[in-house]
Amino acid sequence: MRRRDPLADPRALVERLYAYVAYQIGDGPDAEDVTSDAFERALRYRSSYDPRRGSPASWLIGIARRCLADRAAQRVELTATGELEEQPAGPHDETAAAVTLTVRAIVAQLPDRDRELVALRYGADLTAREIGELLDLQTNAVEVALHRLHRKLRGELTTALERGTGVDLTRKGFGTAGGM
Amino acid sequence: MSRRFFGRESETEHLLRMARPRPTDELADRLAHRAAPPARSRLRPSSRLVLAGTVTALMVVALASVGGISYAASTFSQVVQQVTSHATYMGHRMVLLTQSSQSAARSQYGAPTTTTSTTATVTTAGNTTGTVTTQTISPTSGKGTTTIKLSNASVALTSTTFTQAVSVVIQQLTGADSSSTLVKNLVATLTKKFTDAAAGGDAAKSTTIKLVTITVDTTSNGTAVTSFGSPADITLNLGSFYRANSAKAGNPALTPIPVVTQDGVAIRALKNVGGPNGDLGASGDGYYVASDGTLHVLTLHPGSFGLISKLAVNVGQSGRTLAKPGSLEFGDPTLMQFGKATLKQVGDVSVRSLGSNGAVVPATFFINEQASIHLSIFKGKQKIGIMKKGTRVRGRVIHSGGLVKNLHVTILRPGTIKVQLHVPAGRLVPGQKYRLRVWAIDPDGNKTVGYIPFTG
Repeated sequence: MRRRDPLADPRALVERLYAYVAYQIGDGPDAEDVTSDAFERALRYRSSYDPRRGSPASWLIGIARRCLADRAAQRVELTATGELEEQPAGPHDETAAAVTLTVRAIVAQLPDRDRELVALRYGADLTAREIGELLDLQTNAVEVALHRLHRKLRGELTTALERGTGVDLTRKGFGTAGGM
Repeated sequence: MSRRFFGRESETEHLLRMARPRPTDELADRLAHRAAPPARSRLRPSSRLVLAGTVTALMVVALASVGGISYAASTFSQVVQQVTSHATYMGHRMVLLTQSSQSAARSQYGAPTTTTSTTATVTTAGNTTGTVTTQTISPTSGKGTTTIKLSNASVALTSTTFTQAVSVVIQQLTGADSSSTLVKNLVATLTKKFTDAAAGGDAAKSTTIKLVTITVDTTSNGTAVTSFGSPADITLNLGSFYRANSAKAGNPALTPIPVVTQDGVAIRALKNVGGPNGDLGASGDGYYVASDGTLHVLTLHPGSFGLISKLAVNVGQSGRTLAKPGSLEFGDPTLMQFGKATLKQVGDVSVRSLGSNGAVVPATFFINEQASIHLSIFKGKQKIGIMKKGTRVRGRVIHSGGLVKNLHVTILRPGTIKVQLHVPAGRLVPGQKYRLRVWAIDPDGNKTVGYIPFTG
């Protein structure tokens, strides 16, 4: 049987992959590193991709999850800087950028499992069925979890956006080494 | 399974999708290039072209036979369009453009263009009085582009810019229009003025510069139109002002940059979208410079667009509020490039051993704007870590802190940056190849990555 190339549309996959990773660990150099690692692994395993076991995006996200797990293990040796992961934002509460930062800040504060759901659904743009296969859950369970998450996020987003810069967008610790 | 959970996409879902992080172009391009498959196809290229051409031709014939091409493309049908907009570009006069109705049949087969011009005086909502030139145009087909021409600027509206009858106003504001809220705010914002030969050398006038203001209302009930179906293209011919001040590279504060403002108070730098088909993103606007030197502003919404000094800019391209000009705070517009930062390596790296205390990696690089910098040392793909304690940045010693994989510093004064990175013993092997990664993100969120190779 002729195998399908899972990386036939690489740019779109990279965007979904990066969005997934960055929703999990924050937009920045670490997310780029994990994205690169995951993609390099995918290139190595490209020929072994089996379309019967999931879509290319789902396959790639599965690889990224293992990269994230490896990264978490390495953190024991090298501590994270705890420094800037987000840009400082001013009290600008009506722009798309401010809304984006608000949303990301709220997502970053979610419990791991909820953040993973957001990353898979809205970062990687996977369906509930694909998420269920990755997390070994029933599709219905994923849908219910997403529904609860929506309700929770809607409340937090509404509150945060109504009060402008209600969330800590700057992530304290910015500029630990001082302005140079 | 529907991708839209529980029916219509909720606002929460919309926000989560809108906020999804995006990779840098550099990363996306690099990885996409790595994945480029060997080009193979069961159809020869010529066969595919023939097939595509045949299908396209059949579609064109089918549409043309029912008169659907221009009708489908045109949203000007059965429209009475009165187009008015503001224009303030290098002291040009106010132009009011009115577009009359057309039918689908006239769209299909074309109708003669009728243009009349009159002069009138109007008072706008901004309490600005000026002379107005009125034009009435009966569009020829509605399937092309309607261009409102000024002396040194023009506004091109395609047939899909508006979906209903609208009125647009182009108005000139000069330095004399000091009653204008817009002009007053722009002048007040500027702390430093410069001379514009094109404006007769009047510094005050020159600071009110180069604005094309578009306001759009529906003709049916006067409701303000807040978004366009396709971008309006505002072309600014870069005159003596721009040329003269662009040359002042040594004084970046004087460099005029494309901006947008809705109220004359919040003045946002436009992002460069690269070309006429660039992604306008969430802001719905952007600019590019064509090969002939003209500056094109593309917008999916009304507003005031033009060129102005960095000193007047208080909102970055991303929509983030900037610091005050000259404040030296992160986001000082006079120390920003409003685009990706430029990183350059300066000199070579010569690692210095500290014996049992490890080694020092001295490196020098140049950056042309404020940025948040992350420094990492790589051996292959592995980060070997940097000891914060003992590391120097621009001569300042970091006195505490342990091993980190990303060392973060904030660069407030662009220029040449010297760093001496402390690496613990045993991590750098003599003769081995390493790379120092400099990952910079400017106050507007633009990311730039550079690598400095060195030997342990």
